Amino acid sequence: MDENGLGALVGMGVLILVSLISASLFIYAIGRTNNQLTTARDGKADRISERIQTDIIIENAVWDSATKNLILTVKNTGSTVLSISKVDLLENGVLVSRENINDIYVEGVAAITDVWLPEEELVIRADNILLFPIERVKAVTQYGVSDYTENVVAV
Amino acid sequence: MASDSLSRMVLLIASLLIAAVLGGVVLQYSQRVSNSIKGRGHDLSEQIMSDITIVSDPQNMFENENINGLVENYLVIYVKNTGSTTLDNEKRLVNVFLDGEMLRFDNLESMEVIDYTYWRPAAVVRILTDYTDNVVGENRDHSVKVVTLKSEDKLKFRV
Repeated sequence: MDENGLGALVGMGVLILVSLISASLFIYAIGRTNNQLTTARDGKADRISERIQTDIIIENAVWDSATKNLILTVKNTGSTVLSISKVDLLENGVLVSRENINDIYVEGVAAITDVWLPEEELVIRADNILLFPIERVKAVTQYGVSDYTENVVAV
Repeated sequence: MASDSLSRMVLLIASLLIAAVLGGVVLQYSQRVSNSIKGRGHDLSEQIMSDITIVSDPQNMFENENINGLVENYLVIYVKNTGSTTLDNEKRLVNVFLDGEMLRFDNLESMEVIDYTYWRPAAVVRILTDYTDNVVGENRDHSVKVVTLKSEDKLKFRV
């Protein structure tokens, strides 16, 4: 083989190697992107499914005029397990900070874990941050599913 | 004879150089394109994982606040991160639309995450605007829309 043939052969070899490396770069990038998107889509589908299966009902709301506390009883009427620490309360439209939530009970027992199972009752004792009677309460779960009550009993 | 083999040697080196340069350029572009694909994929997956919900009580959208010494009922929006990724909670990265009109950056007095440092999943941000119930107008239906970099939500309310 003369030098021209050798040059063409080596040049072709270099280009084939470059093509292989480029193809592997593309395949890696596309594979990784596909994995990321699949994981994200699966997560989104799970969230939508859990949101559909989530439901809560405010069973009772009592405003204690002596202690200025709101005692709220909320039932998990859906079929998904909820997180207690991700429940938010709004008193007359004002969000209650977790610092103002004093006690949490699940099925009458002080909550020591974060799990709120279907059909369980959650009782939350929160400070009345408004310092005047509460007329409307909203409870929101981690998926944004919520319930309202205007039936706040003052005692 | 010697000059003939020298010229062949030059041709060999030249062809190798051309192949190497061409290969380098192709590799560089391949790298850029694959990085772009990875970046786009990351952005798209973040977008899919992001979700926000306006959890404000549509009957009580205004709160008594003191802004620059003026105590009035200002429009407050509570937005919960209902996705599975931490969101940016900077005012400049969030747009608020009231009745279809975007509020200027100056109209957003504050945006703070309640109870947490970051706007992590399930955390709520409180957006305080300098719009009072007088400015918004009574006895009318209104809509508020919050748009983050990767998600948005809308709520209708009545004053």
